[in-house]
Amino acid sequence: MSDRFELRLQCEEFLYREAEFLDDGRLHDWLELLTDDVEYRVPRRVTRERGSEESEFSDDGFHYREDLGTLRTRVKRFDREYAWAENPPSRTRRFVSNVRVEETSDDEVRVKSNLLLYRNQGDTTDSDLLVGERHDTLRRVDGSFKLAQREVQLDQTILDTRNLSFFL
Amino acid sequence: MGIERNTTNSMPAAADVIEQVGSIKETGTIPSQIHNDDEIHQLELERVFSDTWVLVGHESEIPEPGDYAKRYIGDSPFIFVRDDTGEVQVLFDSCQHRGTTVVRAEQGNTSYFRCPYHNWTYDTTGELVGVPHKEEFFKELDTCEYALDSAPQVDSYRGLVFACLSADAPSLEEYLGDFTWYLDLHLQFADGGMEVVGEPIRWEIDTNWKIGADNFTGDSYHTLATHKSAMDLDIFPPELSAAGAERTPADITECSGHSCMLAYLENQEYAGGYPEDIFTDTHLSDDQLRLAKRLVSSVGTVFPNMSFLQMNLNPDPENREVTAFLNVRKWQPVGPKKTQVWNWILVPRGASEEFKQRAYDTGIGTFSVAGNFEVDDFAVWDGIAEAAGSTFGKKIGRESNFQMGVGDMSDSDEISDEFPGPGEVYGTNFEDGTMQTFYQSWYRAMTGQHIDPEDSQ
Repeated sequence: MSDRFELRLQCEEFLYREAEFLDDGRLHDWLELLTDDVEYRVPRRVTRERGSEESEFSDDGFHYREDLGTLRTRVKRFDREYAWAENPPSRTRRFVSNVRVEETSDDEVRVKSNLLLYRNQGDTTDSDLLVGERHDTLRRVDGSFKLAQREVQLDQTILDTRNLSFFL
Repeated sequence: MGIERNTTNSMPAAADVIEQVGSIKETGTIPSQIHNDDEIHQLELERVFSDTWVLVGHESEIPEPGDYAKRYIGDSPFIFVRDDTGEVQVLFDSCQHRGTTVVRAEQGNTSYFRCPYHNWTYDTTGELVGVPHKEEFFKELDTCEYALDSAPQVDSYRGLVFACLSADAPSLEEYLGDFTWYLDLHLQFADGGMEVVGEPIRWEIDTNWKIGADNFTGDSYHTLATHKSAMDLDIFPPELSAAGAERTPADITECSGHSCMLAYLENQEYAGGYPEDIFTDTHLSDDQLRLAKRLVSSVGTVFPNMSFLQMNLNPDPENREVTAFLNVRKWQPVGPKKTQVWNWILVPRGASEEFKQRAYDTGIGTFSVAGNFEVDDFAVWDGIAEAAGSTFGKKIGRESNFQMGVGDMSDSDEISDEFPGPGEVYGTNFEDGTMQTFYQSWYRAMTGQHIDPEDSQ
């Protein structure tokens, strides 16, 4: 088995485990998967004409631009029964696929993957679908991976969801 | 007062429901049906959104000639563009040939707009400058007569560009009237004014556009319940909050048809949300500057669907500092129970890059689609439209209650005489006059009256 194939399996294993924590509402366990200097970003996507020189992903418009402190505050908030956005909790299912190892260095791996997130909540058949591509940096810390950077590039410019009260 | 019922249907007629809103000052209630009704929604597009001044965007979004953004007034598409001469235009996005929209992207920079259907081409002022094969097929066509239509009235206030789809409506200056006193507290306290960061965040919620607009006039009462989790974590420091003893509250009602709430620290010169050295007396009166430096929380709505919010907040109270930002909001109606939210974050143009970034992060982290303060609002607003549009709700004439603090409900004092700003002012954030003002303006617009209270009393 080639080293690169094994590395991809390790990355997949990390991403699947991470998805399980998020889908199961184990947000404190999820926080443990993040490095102290984690950068978590979801830039706003902009509808531009074909051939535009500007990126579709905004340089300064974001849905999320977080560090460990702001992420921790969000998780603490979700712990509370008065956090109505997640009470009752969202039922989410993340499908993480097309995992591609892009670059490796001694202790970091840059990984791309696709994300399809289904969300249903409350007394309704309505659901939200959020689809996009993740650009992650995984770092080896004490022998296992942690998430050091994530940028989620969503496929919608206008979000069809009442709120983003969950992580992507 | 009861609802008039028409003879062929047990459900109240739209006209009767609208008329009932006109009594909100006496009853403190409105029929919930206005928050989810097909007929009323259609009438709003024709009356409210065609006869009042509606926010289009901020001038800083289109700084260079050719910069444009696609915008909407009610359900009508417009192009918000800085033309080649540097003037801001609001052009109806509909080709003069067969009528399709000519703008494909939501924003960008261009020297012309070319219709994809037959390639009629317009310059950035809207003039028709290209008709393919004109000399063969359109010899007699006078291109001067086929410029893109402009919004009948376009004007700006402190960088905010508004348009009005009626040429007969009062000017923007008259429309905003005395309410500019309060807008200036948020737009003119710093030299150079405010600028937009990034592109507006957009998302869609399953509720009526008026819910957000009425909440943002100053529903402080909901903060204690809906936002309890954020308050408990000091995202909004509790001593600054609506229940906090330290702050001085004011509800501004009946101010040229618009309304807002303010809360400020009377006993401190400076409340700490913006850098202190950014404040200037260049554009504000002494009273305004004094208030602007002390503000900890304010929200307001310019009727119909522009709201603003400025608060001293902190998305990470253990590691960051309390920071102020200006949130400008547009509640765009998409259907009777579908609203597209447009969310801009503005910062003082003259602030440091470090501050601008921190203010933006505070803004999106608390008041946007993922804002840890505001996500809870969107969790409860859907339910209002659900019940309002229900058969039983309409059948029993379900009413929404806006009686808080009004009349003998509380000891709230009118302090208009001692307060430096205009409008009918109450020394509390726990009264519903701000929302009554909003629905009073809605009633005037729906019954064909101009919003300026000078000619509608």
